[in-house]
Amino acid sequence: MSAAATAPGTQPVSKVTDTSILDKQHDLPAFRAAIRKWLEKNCPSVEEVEDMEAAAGIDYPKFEKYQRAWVAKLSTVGLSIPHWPVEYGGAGLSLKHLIIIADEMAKAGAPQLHMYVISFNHIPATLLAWGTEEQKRKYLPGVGNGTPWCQGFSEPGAGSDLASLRCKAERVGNEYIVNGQKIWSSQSKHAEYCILLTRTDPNVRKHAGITYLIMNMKAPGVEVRPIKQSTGRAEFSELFLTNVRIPVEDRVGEENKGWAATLTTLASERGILAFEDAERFRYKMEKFYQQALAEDAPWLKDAQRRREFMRMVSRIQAVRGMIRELLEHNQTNPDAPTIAPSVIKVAETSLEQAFYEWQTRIKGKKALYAEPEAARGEVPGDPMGSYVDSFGRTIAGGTNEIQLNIISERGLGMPRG
Amino acid sequence: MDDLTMGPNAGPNADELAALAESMADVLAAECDRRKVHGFIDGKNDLEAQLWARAKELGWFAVGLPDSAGGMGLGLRGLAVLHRELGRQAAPGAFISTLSAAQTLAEFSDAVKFLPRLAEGQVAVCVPATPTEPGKGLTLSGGKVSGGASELLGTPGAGLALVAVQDGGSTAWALIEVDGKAAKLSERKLWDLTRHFCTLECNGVTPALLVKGADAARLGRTLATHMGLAVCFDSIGAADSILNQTMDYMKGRTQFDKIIASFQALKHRVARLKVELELARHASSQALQAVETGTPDCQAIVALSKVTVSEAFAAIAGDCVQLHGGVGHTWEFDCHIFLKRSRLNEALVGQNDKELDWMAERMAEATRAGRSILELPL
Repeated sequence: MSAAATAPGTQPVSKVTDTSILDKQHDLPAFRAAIRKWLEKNCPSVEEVEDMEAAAGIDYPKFEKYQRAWVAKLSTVGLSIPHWPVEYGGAGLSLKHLIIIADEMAKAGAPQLHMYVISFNHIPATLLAWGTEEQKRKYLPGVGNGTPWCQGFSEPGAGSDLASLRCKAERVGNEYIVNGQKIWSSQSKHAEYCILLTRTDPNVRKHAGITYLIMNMKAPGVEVRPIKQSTGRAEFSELFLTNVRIPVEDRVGEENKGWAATLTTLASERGILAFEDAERFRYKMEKFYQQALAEDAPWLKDAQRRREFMRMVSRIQAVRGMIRELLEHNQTNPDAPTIAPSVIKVAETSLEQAFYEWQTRIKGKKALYAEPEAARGEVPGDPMGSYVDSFGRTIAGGTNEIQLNIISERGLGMPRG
Repeated sequence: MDDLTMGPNAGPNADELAALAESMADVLAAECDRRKVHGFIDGKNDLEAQLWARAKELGWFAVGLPDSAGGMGLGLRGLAVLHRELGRQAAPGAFISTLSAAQTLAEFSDAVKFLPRLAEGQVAVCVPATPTEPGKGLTLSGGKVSGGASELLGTPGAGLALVAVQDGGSTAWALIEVDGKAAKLSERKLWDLTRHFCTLECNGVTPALLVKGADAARLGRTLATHMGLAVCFDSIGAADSILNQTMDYMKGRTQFDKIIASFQALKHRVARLKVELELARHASSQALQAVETGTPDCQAIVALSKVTVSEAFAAIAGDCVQLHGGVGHTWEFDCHIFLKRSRLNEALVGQNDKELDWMAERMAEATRAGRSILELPL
């Protein structure tokens, strides 16, 4: 089975059948109101979203069903890929619109599109900048219709030092033969395609011998082995690649020059994902507080714990301020380098970790029960699960230590060691 | 840093603020450089008086006051720029107390007659270092103030003192003309040699202004809010300054044949300090914006921001001593000047734990009223 034979890109992007939101795009308050109104009717219930989250990395078909259903619903109003150019099926909306969409989704507690992070953000950013016209036409419509993609970048020996990757691609005729191993590939259990970094020249400077390929996950020789995380869930996998054949036309950019496109991929989140994460976290903290107040939770009368909470309130506000400033920067001055994403990543993920750690301390021994009790009580739910999972956020996407390198070296001009 | 140019902008525009900041920074860099500050704390020059005279000449005392009060109408943003630049140079003087008192009085119609003197910098003002705490030591009887109040922030040369006085069972606020006879100020030296605590002794003084009842409580919190903003921006400028100095030192210092700024253990610490500074910068600008737009919970937001920002400054200043190594512990280097400034800033307005408790009460109140204290403009 070759990639071309299964490419879903031959279908047109599904049509927007309800233009009630997109029609308002020239009037931002009306645009926001239209989204809110649509979400009131269409947003899955809290129970459904919790059921979906509970299935993540445990019950793949169930999780995938929820994700696909939500994308399908969003696409009827043009909100699945609102930021894409119109000619590739998107709505061509500006960052200002995206902020409103993310804000309303966070407020409504709408499902997050975990399965489509790569598809909707990294793929268009990369292909629009580096892809051939043929690649764009072949892949983007499918991506827009909800084809899940994954990323094959990290390797067991190439984590923070990504450019030292060794997965080998050898050119034979019109194909590359790929052999090697990839790791930490999120959502790859669901993915139909993979953006893959390979080593095509081992004899040059490490950044100079990398080739960027598009791999069909159904191609022979691709084996996906889920990795069970410390939470017990398996949301990412190892990829074992044995003589996988990839046609030359599925190369992004030139041979041995894949690093430039890699940087585009890595920079493609544009702050909007961080914005949505932080807004969701704010609502999480606030709802927790409202419930504590309604139930007159004992921690509110414990000066130390209450003060710790207030300090975290101050920090989430500051983090949200940082992200707003970054989004402003991205709109007015998108090409100027900034260390803000690194500062935000360190500040936000550390805060989330501290918050869940604090919750487990309040809950005491009950936080350690494997089967969480009822969702009510001083600290509802399973803060230990969130706490354990929070290490994924301080490690993934460039560990916080790598972010500190970026801040000190690129931001503060401190020399490399 | 463009922290003062975001959001709705009733006062000056971004360019005006940038120009203001630049002109203030230029003056301070030339006339309040580190050599002069060291000379001042060693008693070898009268930088505090010189700087006050210069500020007067340049109209800095009028920056935040409305045009109607003889001010420049540059608003809280203009004032924030001034505090930030003063903090950056660890400038000596009663700026926080005088400027905060002027902003406070501008919000009370009875007090506007004092504003021209304040706008011209003719007089410095002492205020309680912690206006959120109940005033002690001064009592009002038959319209006259007597007793003694300690821990006033300002200068012994101040011409006015804005103080809390006991009026039967309640607290009133009095503006006292310090004449050196019936009302006298004496100094209490601080570890931070660039600022002063004073004690006010009053012997049957008729206050120039008396504010009672609900207005008195409002005056106390208004003063705390303006001082809170001043402390935030002073801290941001000062923390940025000592962090930059520390990085410069680290980039020039070699050990084991390597620049110590290249050591990852140290680099990561500095990067974390930068993260704290950025958080503090945003906390400050959110506090400013809340007061400027007059959101119902703005005073609580300022109180919370002051906690975050003053703690960040203290943490940064402390680690900057350590990152310097031995020289960081000497009188000759600047670290101790900023360290001491940070600890005083931390203690001003109100004890941080108490401020957090006050914020918690306000947050509970707002939440019960169905209002979110966490709304931020997009």
